[in-house]
Amino acid sequence: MSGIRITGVSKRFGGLKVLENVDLEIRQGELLALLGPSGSGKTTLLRIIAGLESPDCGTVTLEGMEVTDRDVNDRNVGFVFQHYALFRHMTAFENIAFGLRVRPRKIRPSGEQIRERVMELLKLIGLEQYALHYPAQLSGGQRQRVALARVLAVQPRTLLLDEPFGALDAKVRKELRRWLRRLHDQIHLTSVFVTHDQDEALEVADRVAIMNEGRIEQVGTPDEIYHCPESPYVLQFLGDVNLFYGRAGEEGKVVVSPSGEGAGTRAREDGRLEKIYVRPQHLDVQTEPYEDGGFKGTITHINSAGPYVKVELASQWGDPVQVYLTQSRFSELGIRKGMEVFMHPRETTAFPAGVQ
Amino acid sequence: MLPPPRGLVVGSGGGGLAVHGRKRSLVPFALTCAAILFMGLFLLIPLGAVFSYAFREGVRAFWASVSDKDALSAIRLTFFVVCLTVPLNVLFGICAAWNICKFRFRGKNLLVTLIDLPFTVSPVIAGLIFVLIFNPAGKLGGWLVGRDIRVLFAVPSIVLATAFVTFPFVAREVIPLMQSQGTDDEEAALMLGAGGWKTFTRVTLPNIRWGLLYGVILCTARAVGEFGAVSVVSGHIRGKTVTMPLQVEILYNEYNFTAAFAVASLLSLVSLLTLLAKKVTERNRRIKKASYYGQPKKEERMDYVRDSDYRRQ
Repeated sequence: MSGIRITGVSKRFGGLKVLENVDLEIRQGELLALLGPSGSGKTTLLRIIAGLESPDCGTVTLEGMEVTDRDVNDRNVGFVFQHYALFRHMTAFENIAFGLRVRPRKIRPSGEQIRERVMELLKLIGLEQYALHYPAQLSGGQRQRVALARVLAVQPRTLLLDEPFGALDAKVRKELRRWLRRLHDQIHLTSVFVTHDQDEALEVADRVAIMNEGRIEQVGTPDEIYHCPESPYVLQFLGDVNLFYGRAGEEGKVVVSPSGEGAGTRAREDGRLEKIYVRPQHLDVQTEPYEDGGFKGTITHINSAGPYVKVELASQWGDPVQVYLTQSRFSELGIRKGMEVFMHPRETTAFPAGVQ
Repeated sequence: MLPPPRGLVVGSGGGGLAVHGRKRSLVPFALTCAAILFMGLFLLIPLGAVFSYAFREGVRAFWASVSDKDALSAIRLTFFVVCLTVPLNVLFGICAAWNICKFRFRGKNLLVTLIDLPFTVSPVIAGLIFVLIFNPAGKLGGWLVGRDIRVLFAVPSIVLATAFVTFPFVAREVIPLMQSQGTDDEEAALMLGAGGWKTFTRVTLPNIRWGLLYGVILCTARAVGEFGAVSVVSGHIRGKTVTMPLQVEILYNEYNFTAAFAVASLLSLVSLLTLLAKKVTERNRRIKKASYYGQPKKEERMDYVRDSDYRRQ
């Protein structure tokens, strides 16, 4: 059974089309990332699932039940806001207890039960000693965890997170996203989180849905979308990439760049113009010319801080090219700024020119 | 060739700046003096004069003036009007602010502009509007008089006129506050299963309480002191439709200066108390805001991410 099914959802704000005929299925117990740049409609889609916005057309089904016309508080969905939306006049404890305290008298747990449940959740998020702190006295990461516990207190069937780590600094963000992954493995809630950070999506999610201008470009496991992108958009969004243009030349080689030489990759048989994408880490560099194709470039900048050495070059046609080398390969080559070197792509992805 | 030593350049630059700074330091001093002089001349001396006149003939005379039958009736009426108009405007202010900040609708800007209307209309005109509406010769006024309901030259019109003039105070304070807070908190409460009323009482109201209190204080001060609009609609019936500011005017016109200033000193006292309350609220508000939006003292290490926690289950 699917956890969440979205069928043909469209949404406009005034004249602006935000979502266009979106179909998406999220499996039960899965953690799915909605990945896209700002303005791609990912937050709107999340808010439509939550019931905070209503779609112009299309339906939302949660665990086999259509909820399109149901109220927010009748969907059993937990929503974590980007800026936490903690109630600032309540302690962490009271924030987490809120959802239980506002229940109708008939189904409201007793004071003791509420206390037990809240303490259990505080333990889960590792903030037992902060129970009586106000949001203002907590750090960003702690606030986000309280916001999550507050949502978990009402035992939702579905968990939605809007840019959950967006407002945190880089180090805390990394720690917290691993924590979220482990938490998800522990509680197995159908979860959707919105992010614009591809690293975050690829690291945390079971599957990733990439959004662009109100449409879903591709859905798949992080592995699938990284290694088999279905469109140039997905490929470009998931990391740095060099773009070359080519056409099938003699001996089945692709001609790179307008006036270029063979680069040693297979080309389309019909000789149509193609866009050829090469990730910076898939370009080999050596100081001698390659026997089989390759092209020339002059090194314009070297940044060796980090796991990769990032080398910027001007190709023989004047276009900028980025190459990432391992530290060991870099020291082996002994290259310097201003040197002329030869490049050869190990892996390429080609799309017919004109496809976005 | 070596570039010229940096320190020299900075040194001469710094010197120039200091001279410049010394010249400029006269300006704030002069401005402060002017402000103090102005304040003394136009605020402190008159305020002092009010109290000194009130007590000119001794405490007994002061007491006799304020415990006079008409004076007491004016105080009672003013108190009554405040007790009615302030809650009315609180209710309206919160409704308007809620409406403007939490919903999208056509004509929102018009509503915001209309809320400010009482600020731009002269109180006398506000009073005249009510005279026109409830004039016994008019339709509504005639209908009411026919049913023996007196609005004009009676307490109801005083309440209405005061409410009109003090209309924007609460709304003007609460709207920007609500707008800056956005709708996240309310949405979070709704998602957690709270209904509309519980969301309002448990989340929205506590969030705006300081702004609301500030608005209430300003609204009260204005309601107590309102003269123009009330003067037009009250009819000046002694012991019946005379509020404190009107009582001051009546006594003054009768050359009964000591009594006039005695009642005036009570009004001034209300203003001073308002100012104090306003100051306290403002400070409280600033502290609340700073402590929520300010940077947390230090980022806690994520020592809770321990493997044992996750192996437990």
